[in-house]
Amino acid sequence: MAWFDAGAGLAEAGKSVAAFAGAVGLEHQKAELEKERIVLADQLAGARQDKQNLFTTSERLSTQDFTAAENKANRENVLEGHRISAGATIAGHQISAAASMKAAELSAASHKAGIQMQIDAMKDVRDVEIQKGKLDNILKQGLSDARTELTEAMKGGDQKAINAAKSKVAALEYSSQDDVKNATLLLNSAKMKEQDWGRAEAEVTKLQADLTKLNNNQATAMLPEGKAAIAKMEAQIAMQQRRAQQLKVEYDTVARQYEAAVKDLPTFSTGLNANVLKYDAEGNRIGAPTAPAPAAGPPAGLIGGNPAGGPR
Amino acid sequence: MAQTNFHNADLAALEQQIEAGVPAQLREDYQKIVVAGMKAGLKGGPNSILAQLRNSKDPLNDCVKGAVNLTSLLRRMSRNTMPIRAMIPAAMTLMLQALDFADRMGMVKVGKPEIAQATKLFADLIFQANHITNAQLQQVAQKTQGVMNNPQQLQALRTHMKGVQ
Repeated sequence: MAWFDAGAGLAEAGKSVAAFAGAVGLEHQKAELEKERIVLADQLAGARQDKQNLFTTSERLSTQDFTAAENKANRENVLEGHRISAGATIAGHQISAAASMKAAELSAASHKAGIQMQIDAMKDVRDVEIQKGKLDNILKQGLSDARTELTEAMKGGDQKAINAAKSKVAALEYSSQDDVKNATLLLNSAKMKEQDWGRAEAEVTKLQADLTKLNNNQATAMLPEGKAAIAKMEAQIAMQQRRAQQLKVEYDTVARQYEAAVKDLPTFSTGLNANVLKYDAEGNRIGAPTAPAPAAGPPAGLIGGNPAGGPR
Repeated sequence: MAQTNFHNADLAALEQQIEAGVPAQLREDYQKIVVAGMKAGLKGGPNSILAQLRNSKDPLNDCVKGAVNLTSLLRRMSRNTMPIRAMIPAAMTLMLQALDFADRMGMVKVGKPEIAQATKLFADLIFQANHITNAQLQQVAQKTQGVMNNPQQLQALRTHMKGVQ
């Protein structure tokens, strides 16, 4: 029994030793695991720090790269801005230059056309004046011839011839006055038309000058407004040119009428006795109630002096 | 008193308080649970469960959840033979180990406010993991109050506790 009791006590002692050994083993394991945990934490902390450093470095490098790229982009943007600005300036100058050239061309063309029209008008007026001079000369010559014929007839004493010569002189004086008056009216009308046309041309020239000034002074600064003003000016110029053209047409019409009148005048004067004025056997004019009837004897006013040295 | 390897002094002091409060008959179970939990947590080294804390957005919360969930997993693996009274201080110790790990790794600075916050969260999760509701807690509190007010029952409880220790 005592052996049994001694065995039981030994078994309890063995259990106690085993429990102590187990407790110590667990403590040791726990301590080892804690050390392992610390090593792992330090390892991860180092890796984390390395990662953080790497990230910081990368971020710094990225920031530097970004800054460098941004600076580069800014420089490129500035350069691009300069290029765009320069391009815009060049384009503006080109537009301005083109507008100025166009205005100059328009002005030159208009001026040239104006000068040509002026020359033509002057030429026409001169021609009209020449024609008028010719007409005057023709009339004077015809009148002189008629008066000479009258003088000769009076010398001859043939009353019929005298009356015919008187009629011719009277008709020539009358028609001369009438035709000259008409021709003068036509000439004056032509001159008035010329003046109107001249004023229109002057207005065109003024508008072109304004346009050139506008192009030179404001085309670059006020390009849109300048363009609108140019268009307006061009419209006004076109309108004035149309008006000048119309006046020129009117002038040409009057000039042609005058030319026609002058052209028909010699024939009219030549055939005056045969076709228009007729006299009876006593020398009285037939069919010309408005014409002054020839008085007995040569009217002093008609003769106008002492032609061919005849008696007054 | 076992030698501690804690980096954080507050956590080390708390662990010593916990271990001091573990009854002697549960001490081995407590140590077994802690060792098993640490082995499971450290298995895989840099790829271990503990090392996954480095990717955590909320290390304090994850330390507490990880310790409670790991202990619950170990209890299920023991086919529920793991004693609850040893499991709770062991889970608390594992939580402290995880917090010290995070603190040493520099992920979170653990002080007394963080420890208080973690302890409160730990209690909530332990109750939740063991399906203990607020109603049950109130019932236990009332029952405890009843025992405390009954001298015979109080004496019987003291006798029982002496027998256990």
